[in-house]
Formats: sequence, structure tokens, C-alpha cells
Amino acid sequence: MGRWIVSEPLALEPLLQETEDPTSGALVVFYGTVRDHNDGRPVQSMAYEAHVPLAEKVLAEIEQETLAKFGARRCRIQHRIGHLALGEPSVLIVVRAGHRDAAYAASRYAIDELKQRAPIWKEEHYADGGSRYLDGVPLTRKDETPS
Amino acid sequence: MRVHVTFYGGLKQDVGTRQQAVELPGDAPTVGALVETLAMRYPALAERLATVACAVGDTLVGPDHPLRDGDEAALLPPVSGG
Repeated sequence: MGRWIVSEPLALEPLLQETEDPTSGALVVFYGTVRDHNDGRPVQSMAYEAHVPLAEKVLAEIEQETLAKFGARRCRIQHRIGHLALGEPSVLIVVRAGHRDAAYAASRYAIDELKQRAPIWKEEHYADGGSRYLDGVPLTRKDETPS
Repeated sequence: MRVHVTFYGGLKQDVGTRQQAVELPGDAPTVGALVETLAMRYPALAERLATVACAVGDTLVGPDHPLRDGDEAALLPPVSGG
């Protein structure tokens, strides 16, 4: 699988090594994990699917944007696909910056943009055997005004 | 001319298939023509078209984008990653 979209469990250590930077004084790590309920309904597991080539391109762009907009020194984003159990991480974002304000802001930007722009879908599986794709955010092109 | 279409997320349930080859008339049909063809075939898709995006390869494209024989197109419903 790819550099941004992975089918194995997410691993923090390799991303910490990859982003090592002695000029950074702040390191923010964000994990998104599978929650045991949604809209009052108990969730048993979650299946994630991605349009891999486009998702990889979008996540690479978001990484670069955190550097340009917030002065983050390093940013790596990985999103997992496949069937995940409760509590398992679905997304991992590692940001390093000179100071904490930039690191927190860049991390927040990365997860917010991912949720708007990455072609990834989650399907909740319930204890009673049913499942449902969650409502989401329509994708828009850069040259298009959102309606 | 033939293009290959992949349906993502809940769309594949709406249309009952994940991938499909679609024959389109003419030399240079557009993404708009492809979407119209699919919407006629699948009423459930037609109802959702306002929120569905289209990618060819690794690029989001608009309805005017010209298709070539053998293109890999994807229909992408609203996203819910994270």
C-alpha cells in the first residue's frame, strides 16, 4: 500500500523517525480512533474505503499546505483502510514545528482538511448485523465554487 | 468508446455493482455524458447526482472533461474519512 493510505495498523514510531527535526521544539500527534457509538446507536466495527490514487495526492497536498500556511517543519498524514475494530486508529497525523502554536494549528488544519477533501468513506457495522455508510461532505474541485 | 467506472462508498449499494464498463456514443464524449448515461440506468444514482464528484485517474474533473477510450473513471459520493 502507499505512503499515505495504508492497510496495515498505523504505526507512530516510523513517522516519528521520518520526521525527526532538531530545529523543532513542538511535536503534536493526532490519532482518530473508532468510536463505540454514533447517533445513539452502538457500533461494533468500522470499514474504511479510499480512492487510493486521489486520496494519496490529496493527503500529500495537505501535508505541504501545513508547511506553507503555518510554518510547520514536518507533517506526515496516514489514513488506514479496511476493517477496523473499536478503538483502533483510523488516522494518524504527526506535525513538528518550531513552537506549539504552529504545531497545534497545523495539526488541526490537517485533520479538518482531510475530512473535507480526502476521498475516503466509512461504513459503520452495528451489533445487530446491519451496516450503514455515513453521510459526508461533497467533494469539490479547486476551480469550482462549493454550492 | 468504452470507459471503466468504479462506484465508491454507498454508491455501489445504490447501483448494485462496484465496477462497470460503459459504452458511450461519439468520438469525444464528456464526463457529463457518462454521468447522464449512468443516471438513466440507475434512478438511485440520479437522485444523488448533486453531491457526487467524478475523478478520472487521480484528478477530480468537471462535466466538460473529455473522456478517452479505456479511461478509468470513478464516482465519488460525499466523503467521511477521519
